[in-house]
Amino acid sequence: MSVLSVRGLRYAYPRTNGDKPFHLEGIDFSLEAGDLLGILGPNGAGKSTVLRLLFKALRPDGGDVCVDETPLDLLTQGAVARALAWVPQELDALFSLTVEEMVRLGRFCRGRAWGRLSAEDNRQVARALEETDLTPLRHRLVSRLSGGERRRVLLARALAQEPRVLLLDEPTAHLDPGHVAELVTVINRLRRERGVAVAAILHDVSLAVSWCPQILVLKGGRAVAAGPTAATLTPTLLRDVYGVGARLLTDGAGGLAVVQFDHTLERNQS
Amino acid sequence: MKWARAAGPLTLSAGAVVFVLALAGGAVPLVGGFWHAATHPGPGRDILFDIRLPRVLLGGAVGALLATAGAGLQGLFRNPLADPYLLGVSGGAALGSVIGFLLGVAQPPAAVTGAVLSLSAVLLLARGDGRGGAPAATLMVLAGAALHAFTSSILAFILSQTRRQEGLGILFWLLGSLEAPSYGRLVPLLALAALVLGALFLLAPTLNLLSLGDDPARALGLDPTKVRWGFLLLTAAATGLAVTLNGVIPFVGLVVPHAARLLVGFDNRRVLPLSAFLGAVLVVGADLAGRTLRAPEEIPVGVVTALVGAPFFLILLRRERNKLG
Repeated sequence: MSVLSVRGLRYAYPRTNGDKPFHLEGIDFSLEAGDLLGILGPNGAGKSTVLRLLFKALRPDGGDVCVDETPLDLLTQGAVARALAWVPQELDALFSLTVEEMVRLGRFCRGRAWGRLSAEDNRQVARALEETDLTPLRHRLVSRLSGGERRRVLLARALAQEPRVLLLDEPTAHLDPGHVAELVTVINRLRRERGVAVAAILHDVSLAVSWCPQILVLKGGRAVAAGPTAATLTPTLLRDVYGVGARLLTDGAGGLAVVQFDHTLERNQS
Repeated sequence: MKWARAAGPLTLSAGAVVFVLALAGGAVPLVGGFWHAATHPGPGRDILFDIRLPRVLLGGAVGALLATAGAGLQGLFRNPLADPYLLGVSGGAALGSVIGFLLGVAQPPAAVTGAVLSLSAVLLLARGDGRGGAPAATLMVLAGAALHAFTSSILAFILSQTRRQEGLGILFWLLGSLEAPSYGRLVPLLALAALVLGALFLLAPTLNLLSLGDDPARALGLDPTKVRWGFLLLTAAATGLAVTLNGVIPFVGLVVPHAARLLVGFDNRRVLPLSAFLGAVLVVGADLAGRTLRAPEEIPVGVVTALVGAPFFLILLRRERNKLG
């Protein structure tokens, strides 16, 4: 039984003056417990829009989204938040809470009167802080943190929701290689131990190749490829999607592949 | 941490001192025989219970309403400059209230209607990007200034057309002279104020989510649309009630929430109630200053809060500008 299934998802941004109309259509995928799907594609392909459609930030124009076989329309916003947690790219820290206060907001969907936290809530918050290595920083103001630390706060807040599915929007942007490795470890442990399914937008194609068993590739609001990463991600596809030549390098042992883009090539017009 | 633990009791006792001083001080000082005056019949007791106490209650209610409305608006619009006065909501409420008064309609609903209409007008003028984003902070304040100029000129026109005595009365009320009303008029308004404040406190946890933005709020399980309407109506109602009670008092809603956040951080479950308390202290204190500094003459309380608030506003404005680069 799939935790999240998406069939024929369609969406058009309301037309505003001067903007080119943007249509998203024909998005299909499904996630089972523990799955990891990498969503790839150039800027403006509609990747973030797909995620926002899943947690009801946007209302689809068509198609079916089901969480545990229940259509999204039938779920309250709170029920959606208990099932799906979104980790956005940026944390807007205008009014700055402390790290712990921010992570506690993840418990809102678990509904206690006036935001009072139960013992269970506190345990989950402490666990989320521990898993993201934020326990020593928990009394710091979020506005005083580095970009990488803020990303971890966003992940911790999502973990505190105890979701079945994590929706990650470029989780590794602005992270150094050490923190990317930490993030991958944390996410993999969640998949293994708690069966959390993950959909992650990635710009780092090499990371997608080495990490994601499945990928979905978008361009211009359409899915141009989907399937097992090794079989789907070919140099031809990469050239079509990103408009730049690419080579896939293996480490010789047959498993790991690294994608090398040829930035000196002229942009392919197709 | 030690300091933070002491801050709570310190704030509470400082506030209590202001309230007691406001009851004791004034044209007829009661400081020496305060308990005597309170417990024995006579002119002292009359002054205390018929003049000073209603005035302190009135000032406290007005301050609590304005400061809580300011805290609500700041969180709602993610705008540190939001304030019922700066957004033109107080001006709209004043105009509504005066029109209500001249037409013989009950003033509170007229003032609340004026507040709701002007808040809607500001939102319309400073509309966001059409995708549900909050309007830019400075743009909202500009729209509020325009609206305030508009409502002020209509008020000036009305005042110029009324008889001199009546006009002066309206003018003094607009400036926020805390003239003690009878208990018969005061008590129902205080009850309404308590209801509005209670509703705002109940919604405070959702304000923490709303101030993150619409998408994060949804992702965390809150549908922002309904709660936003609740906040809009309640902050407008709070402003309308405050204006009905005591005219336009500027900057209370701007200054107080920032002070509250300095004391307890940014969790609105603490910011809103503390703002209400500090707002009450500020207005009662400003009134105390207003009626003692030049006794027996009185300086309207709105003049005192403007003297405190305007420099503070300029500092905040500079900070906003620096943020914009």
